[in-house]
Amino acid sequence: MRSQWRTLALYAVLTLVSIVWIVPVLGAAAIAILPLDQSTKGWWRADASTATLANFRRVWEGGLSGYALNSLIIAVLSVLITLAVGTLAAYAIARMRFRFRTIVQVMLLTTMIVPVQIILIPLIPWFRTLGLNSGSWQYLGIALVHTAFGAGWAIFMLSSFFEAIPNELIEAAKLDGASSLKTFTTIALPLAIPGIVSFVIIDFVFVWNDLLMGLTLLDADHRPMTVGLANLNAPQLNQDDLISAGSILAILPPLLLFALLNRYYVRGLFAGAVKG
Amino acid sequence: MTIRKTTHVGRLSAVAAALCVVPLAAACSGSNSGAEGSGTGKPSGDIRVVSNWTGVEGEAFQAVVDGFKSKYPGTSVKVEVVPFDQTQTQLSQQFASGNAPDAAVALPGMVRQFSQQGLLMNLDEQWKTWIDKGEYNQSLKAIAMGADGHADAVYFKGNVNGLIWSTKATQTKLGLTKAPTTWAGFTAALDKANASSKAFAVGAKDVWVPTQWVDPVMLNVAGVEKFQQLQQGKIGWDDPKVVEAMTVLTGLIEKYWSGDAMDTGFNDEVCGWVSGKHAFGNNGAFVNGVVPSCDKNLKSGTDYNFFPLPAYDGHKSAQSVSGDLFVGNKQSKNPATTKAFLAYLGSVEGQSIWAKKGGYVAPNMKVPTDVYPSANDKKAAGLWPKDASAAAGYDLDDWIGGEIQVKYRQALQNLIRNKDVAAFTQAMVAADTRSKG
Amino acid sequence: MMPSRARTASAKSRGRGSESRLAYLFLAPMLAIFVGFYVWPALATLSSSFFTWGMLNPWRVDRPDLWVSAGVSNYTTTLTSADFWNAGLNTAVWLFVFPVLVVTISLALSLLMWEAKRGAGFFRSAIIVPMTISLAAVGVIWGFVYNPNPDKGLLNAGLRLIGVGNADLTLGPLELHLGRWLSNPGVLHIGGLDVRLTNIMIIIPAVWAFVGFGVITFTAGLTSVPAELLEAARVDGASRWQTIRHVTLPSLRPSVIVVVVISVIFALRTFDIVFVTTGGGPAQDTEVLGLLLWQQAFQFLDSPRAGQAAAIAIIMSVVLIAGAMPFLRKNGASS
Repeated sequence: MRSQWRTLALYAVLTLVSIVWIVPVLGAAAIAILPLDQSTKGWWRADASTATLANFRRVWEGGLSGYALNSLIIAVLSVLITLAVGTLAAYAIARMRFRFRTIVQVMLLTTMIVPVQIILIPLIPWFRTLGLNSGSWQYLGIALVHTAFGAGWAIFMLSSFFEAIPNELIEAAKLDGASSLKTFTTIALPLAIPGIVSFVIIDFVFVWNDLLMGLTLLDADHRPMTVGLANLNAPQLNQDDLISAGSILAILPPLLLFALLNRYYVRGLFAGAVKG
Repeated sequence: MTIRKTTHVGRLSAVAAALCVVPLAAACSGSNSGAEGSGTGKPSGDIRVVSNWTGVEGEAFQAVVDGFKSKYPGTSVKVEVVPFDQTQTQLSQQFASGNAPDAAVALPGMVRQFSQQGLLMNLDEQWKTWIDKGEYNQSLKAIAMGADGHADAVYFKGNVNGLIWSTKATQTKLGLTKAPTTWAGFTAALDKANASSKAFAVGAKDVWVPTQWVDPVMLNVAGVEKFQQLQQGKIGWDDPKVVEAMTVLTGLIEKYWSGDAMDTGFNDEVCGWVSGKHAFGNNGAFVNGVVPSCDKNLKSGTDYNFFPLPAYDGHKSAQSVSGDLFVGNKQSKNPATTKAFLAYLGSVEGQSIWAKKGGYVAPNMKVPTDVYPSANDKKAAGLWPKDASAAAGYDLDDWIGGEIQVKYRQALQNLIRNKDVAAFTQAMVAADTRSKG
Repeated sequence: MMPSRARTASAKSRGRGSESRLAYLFLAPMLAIFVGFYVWPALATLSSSFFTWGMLNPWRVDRPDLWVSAGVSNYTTTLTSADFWNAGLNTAVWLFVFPVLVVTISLALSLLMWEAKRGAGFFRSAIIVPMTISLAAVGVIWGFVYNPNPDKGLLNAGLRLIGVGNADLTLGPLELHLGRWLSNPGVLHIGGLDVRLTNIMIIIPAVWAFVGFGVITFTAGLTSVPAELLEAARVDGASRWQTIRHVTLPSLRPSVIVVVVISVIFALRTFDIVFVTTGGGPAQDTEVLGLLLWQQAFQFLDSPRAGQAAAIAIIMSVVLIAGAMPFLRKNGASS
């Protein structure tokens, strides 16, 4: 009897907490689907029949579509580059012995600790020198910075997947006379795919959600959604309906990724956690 | 490009790849500007312009831009809007990364900073033409001067400040048949208003709003000379007259400002006095265009109007003005069109377009008064200083700009919170060291 | 087929040498990007922190004729400036409050969800969802919650409902102003310092978004609590609470350390959410070091402060590396 009461209390608390957790997002979503005059008197009192998608359309056509495209390009490019160079490097760190291994690891580790601003300040003149400050080159520039700054995290995650590969498989390939590169592409990579998928999702969400780098390094045409959202938040105007719609649109892609590929996302974070 | 074959092929080829990016990128960036205009001749081609107006004002600016495009077919102007409070940051970022626009809205403080780095177009010639034709005068030109000794901006949008607004309904309720012309009459009206609710609606959450209070009070209490000396860093914030002005202001804050001033923004402030929740609002002339968003039914002039802040205890009153300038990028890829655009922005033709829409005071002295749509607009335009003898002070912090402006706004927020004039003076003396040499 | 002994001796040493070269080949692309876009800019920041320069005429390593030396004055000015210590105070609030809230809330929730074997997935999802949201969006979303207008803001509507409105309370050194969440929620006066509670109001959304990470970490840790110990506790007749206290929590110690370290690093680096919510205001109440840095490099142009911004970045990095490195090395060195 007592344990039943206890279980009930347990589930009640958890349900309450979950509701409280979702309420802020619910509020923003409610304001996003209501016309402005309905939400100025409190969205909880609004007439539900006035729900409309007009705010989304307005904010999308008002420039957010361009920002969304930019976010997509930047995130995809960044993840691809990180994947390409990161898997190679992680494989080496996980399975090969070489001098300076510790030093390299330590240096990569610092990227997870130091504030981004330490590289941001000289980056504007540096991009100018490299020619990465104009036009579509900016996409490449910021993708490279994301890769560099995310290198520590990438190695941390990816190397754990490569370490988990049974030694026998690698030895067998070597005995068959395969070069390291061939072993890597035909044996190691395929086996690490589940882990790599997790990494891709986490890295994509991370780059998609970045604000500071996009704010500092990109011009208006190449701005990501986060910066666009921050700009919409200008206090001058009463545009709650637009900002809320913008925020919902901005969080949709990572949310969808999480919903659809839940298992991979969580497992990826698990991997980082278990390793710790 | 030869690649030496060594055992470290991998590393070298990576470096070579990186090096190859540079000349490619340099080649690419030079050829993306689209149609270019020549240095002289008819304006044509595209230019990119940065502005910070949104909503109703944004539409008005677009109308001016459209006017330019119809005057010069063959040109195209791309307007990029940045948030108002980030204008300086965004512009400096764009200049620093080499992505500067062809023209941009700016305040005098920014004009001087950018001109110091040699980034702006020299507009002396244009100003000479204007002054010769009587469209502008020297004191207006002084506001557009850069730190390099020549005029680096055009004066596009004027604004008159220190106007005390209220609705006719409120005035009737308070028995205010005539606008007060003395400080005593002013405070008497405020005391009457205080009986029902605090006299002033104030949107101090927007950090620029309190600065609009300091300007007219400082001009009227400390006088125009002290104001300009303070602005140019010739005297410090601890000057007795300056401190007196801040003390008077603090008195006003304590007695007459609404209690939730720090939580409400500009928009709520305007709707506050329009709806009668508070009696008065201290706003610039441009609010004339904002009022309809609070209440569509009020007619400018008949249902709401303003009176200028009266002179303080027998001193001479001076007019507080502000406004927006426009600068041109010296490195613009289309200087002819940019120059034409700037000339248009300062011309009677260009300015009349916005003047007709209201909520705007044209700096160009030749813009006729009948172009203004409402009684309030006409009255505000009448206050615009049309000759050197008219005493006027330009917005204090917009003129100074930079870090001192940011520190000043922070110190003002603290002043509103603590009502401590001594602390404010101390903070400003520390932040603004120009007068100390 | 070589005789095995010879294979061991010479082939192995040859193997290790070529393995080293091979490793470098694999590492080369990553290292190239890493050096070009992390190491080099970091070194540039370090060097430029000893000079005076501004964003409009930046410090360039190839133009020594343009250098304006500042010696260590950027560091001394920073370490003696009121702005720096004010930002330091606000960052310190983040440093203490953020990790504590994240750990306690996520630990409590993890334990609760562990108890509720069925349906825990749903609860976990609800709590993890905010992790996927960018902090800019988090700031916007909570801006609606904190809106001081009781017709628009959820919290103030609630206050109005219970008839409290904008009450002011004073409890000893603690001053509270209800209802004005982001402008003036209160002050805590400790020893001469005024700690602005506005920081706490921004920390709360950040905690809300971060708890998901804690929950995942602790759940993973809970799966690896040694079963024998749990069994032994059960046999000994320990109550649920006693088991948790004496078996589960101690086993979770490594997870707690991970969450604390990552939270501390996040707290020190925070920028996004403060920028979007209050921009450091009102006045300088919520100005944290990450924001101050950005302002000094990108906002203040007339007094060329980028060198000082660089100094702040270096100081922060040194402190962070010195403090966090031992923990991360211990956890990373397990490879």
